[in-house]
Amino acid sequence: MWTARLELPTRKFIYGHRAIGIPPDAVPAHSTPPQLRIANELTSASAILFDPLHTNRPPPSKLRPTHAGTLSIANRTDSSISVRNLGGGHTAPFPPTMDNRRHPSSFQQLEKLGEGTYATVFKGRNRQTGELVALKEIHLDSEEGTPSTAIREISLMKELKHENIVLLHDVIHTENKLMLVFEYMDKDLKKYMDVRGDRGALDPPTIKSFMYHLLRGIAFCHENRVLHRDLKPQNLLINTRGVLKLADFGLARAFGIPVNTFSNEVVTLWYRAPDVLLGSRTYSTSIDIWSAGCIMAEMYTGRPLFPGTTNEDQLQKIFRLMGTPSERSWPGISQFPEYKANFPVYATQDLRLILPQIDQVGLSLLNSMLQLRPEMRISAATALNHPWFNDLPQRQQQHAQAMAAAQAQAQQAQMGGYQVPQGAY
Amino acid sequence: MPYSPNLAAENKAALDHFIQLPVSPDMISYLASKAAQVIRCEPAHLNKNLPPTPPASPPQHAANPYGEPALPSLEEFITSIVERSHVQVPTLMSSLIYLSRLKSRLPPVAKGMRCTVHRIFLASLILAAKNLNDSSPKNKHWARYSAVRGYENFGFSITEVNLMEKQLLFLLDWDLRINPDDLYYHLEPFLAPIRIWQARQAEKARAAEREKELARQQYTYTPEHHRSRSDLSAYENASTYSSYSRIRNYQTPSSRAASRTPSLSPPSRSSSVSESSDSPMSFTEEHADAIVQRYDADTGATLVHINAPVTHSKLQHSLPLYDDKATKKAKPTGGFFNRMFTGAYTGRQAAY
Repeated sequence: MWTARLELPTRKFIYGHRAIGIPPDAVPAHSTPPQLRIANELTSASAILFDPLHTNRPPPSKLRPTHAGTLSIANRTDSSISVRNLGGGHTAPFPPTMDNRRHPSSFQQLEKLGEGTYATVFKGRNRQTGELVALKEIHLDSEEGTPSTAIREISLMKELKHENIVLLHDVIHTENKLMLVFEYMDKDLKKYMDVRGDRGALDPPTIKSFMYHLLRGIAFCHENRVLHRDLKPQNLLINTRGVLKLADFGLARAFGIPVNTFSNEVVTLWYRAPDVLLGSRTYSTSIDIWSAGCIMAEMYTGRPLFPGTTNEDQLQKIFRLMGTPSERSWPGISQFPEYKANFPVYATQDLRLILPQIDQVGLSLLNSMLQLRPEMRISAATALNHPWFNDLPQRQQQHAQAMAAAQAQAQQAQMGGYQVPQGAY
Repeated sequence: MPYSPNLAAENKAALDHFIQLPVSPDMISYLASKAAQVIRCEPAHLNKNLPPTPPASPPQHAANPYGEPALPSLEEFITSIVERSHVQVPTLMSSLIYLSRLKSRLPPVAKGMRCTVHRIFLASLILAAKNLNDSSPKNKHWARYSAVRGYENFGFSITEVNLMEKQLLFLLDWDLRINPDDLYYHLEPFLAPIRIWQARQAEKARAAEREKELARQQYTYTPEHHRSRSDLSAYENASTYSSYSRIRNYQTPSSRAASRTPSLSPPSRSSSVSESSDSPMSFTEEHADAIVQRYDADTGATLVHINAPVTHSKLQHSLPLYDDKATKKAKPTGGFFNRMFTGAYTGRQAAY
């Protein structure tokens, strides 16, 4: 019974409407979901939308632009526009009017790329365009409904469009699974380090470039009031052009509104900030910076910086290196729920002892990210301006562009008769 | 409401207060009214194939003649869900945003079935809970919470709950972000009185601070300063009112003696009298800032009239009639505003 429905998304859609109680014909053309509107803009609109046999709605007039977000045209590839090509090529025997969802079979499923806690990721190929995609399949548990992780991941990633954040192309919601279609990325940072690194350790120019990408992605999230909350090498993806992007926003959430509750069961243990380990529920953007610091150190050594086994062990590993904080070095620390007065007392170690490869400037950046006190940790935006990145080709290029623009402006000003003082640039 | 540069900060403070409140019947009826506006629903037993029948006679709880289970009112439904799920104000009231977002995405002609609005509300609440909280009930729990006592055949199955959630996600196009401005806009009917109350609390605190400051520097101050400051809390009831003025009267002569300016000139008094005789009806419609000013000015004026006759022997003789009138007039006026403001507000506060 379920499978029959799976093959006929038409019926499913009618059923779906019943679920909320809006008769299908009560939703006229302009309220059709954006997915369909996109399809209309790019294919023959009336052929899909209007069929007097199956609908009594008026023929569509002007099609409206889509809602900005995942499904906006600019960001969209052909991979998601396969409305009429359900089931891989055979023509749909059901009324096209009802068909406003793409179907999983628009994609050819290739090998499995990974398995997360709530999803499996496959490599996929768009049957129409041949383009490679990553298909994240989320099994829908009938008791839970749509998982909150998926709800947040989709609603947040729809809005986070950035060069250093994996692009969500599309969402396909079927009876028993939810499929997220992402841009295809070559490998994750963990695998990249295993394959390309020297026993896992990367060369300094690569580390600098990846850190720049990572911090740019984080800064964009934070600007948009999103915490990632699960940064680790496995969740950072690298494409064939060497661009690093943030992925897996399953634990991410919006911050900055008081109407929500936070859990401290966030971030994979090894990358979890000390304030979270101490039981804080009022953490903010700085928890992502701690993770970034751990990742930076890991890229130098090929080994995780703080591979703890339990919450306590994790804290102890951190304190052993960074020194045990006290009420004097961290006012208010004794108020944390997990604070113990009998923490073993360690002196602060020089990070260079375990990271002999790191240069002085890089070390200062790392130190400012690995501050025990969350309010002392550097912000992503500030970190991007750290002098360590000055010699980054990418930065120099951007800098040169800015200079050129300024120069052009100055020339224009001079031609207009303005005196531009020497050395203004 | 006039533009205030502090409005964002005031809203933030009001929201922080609002989310601490318990769920009130007021909130539920507001939610119900907003949910009902999302889509028009067919009357419970509208069937075109049958001749019209007179409206169902009470008790409504009984199933109607068409075999459809009796439908609890939206308010009954929401109240029951709130009780069963123990949902808190932040989550409950954030569903207003999804209701309004859905409304803006549905065409005005859209029509729902019998319990569409019940479904829309439940789905909005589920999405708010899943989006805002790191742990939230599963849909099977929500299905259980959808049962309403006294309506044995009403309630949604887990399959229905899953489908309504999926359908709402689809209609909202997964657009579930909530910004502070969304909250300020949709919760305005609840935030506005809190803002006013908080402004008044702040003003009281400032006045108390000033009074403390004055108590310290009392003898170096001019009577004008003295008159315009007051410990507002002393005016909350009549007994402290009179005792306070006695203390004041006892103290004032020494400060009067030190004053450099002529004290208690009639013009200042007459202006305060005219102010206090403004129509009190406009009072509640004024902006928070204005209310605070008025409140302050009013009590300030009251104080003047009390002090005047006793402290200044000259004036007492020259203007006995005037002072008499002013004292009489000022007393109930101050009381009126205090009653009006505190009374009205505590009334509202109790409603939360």
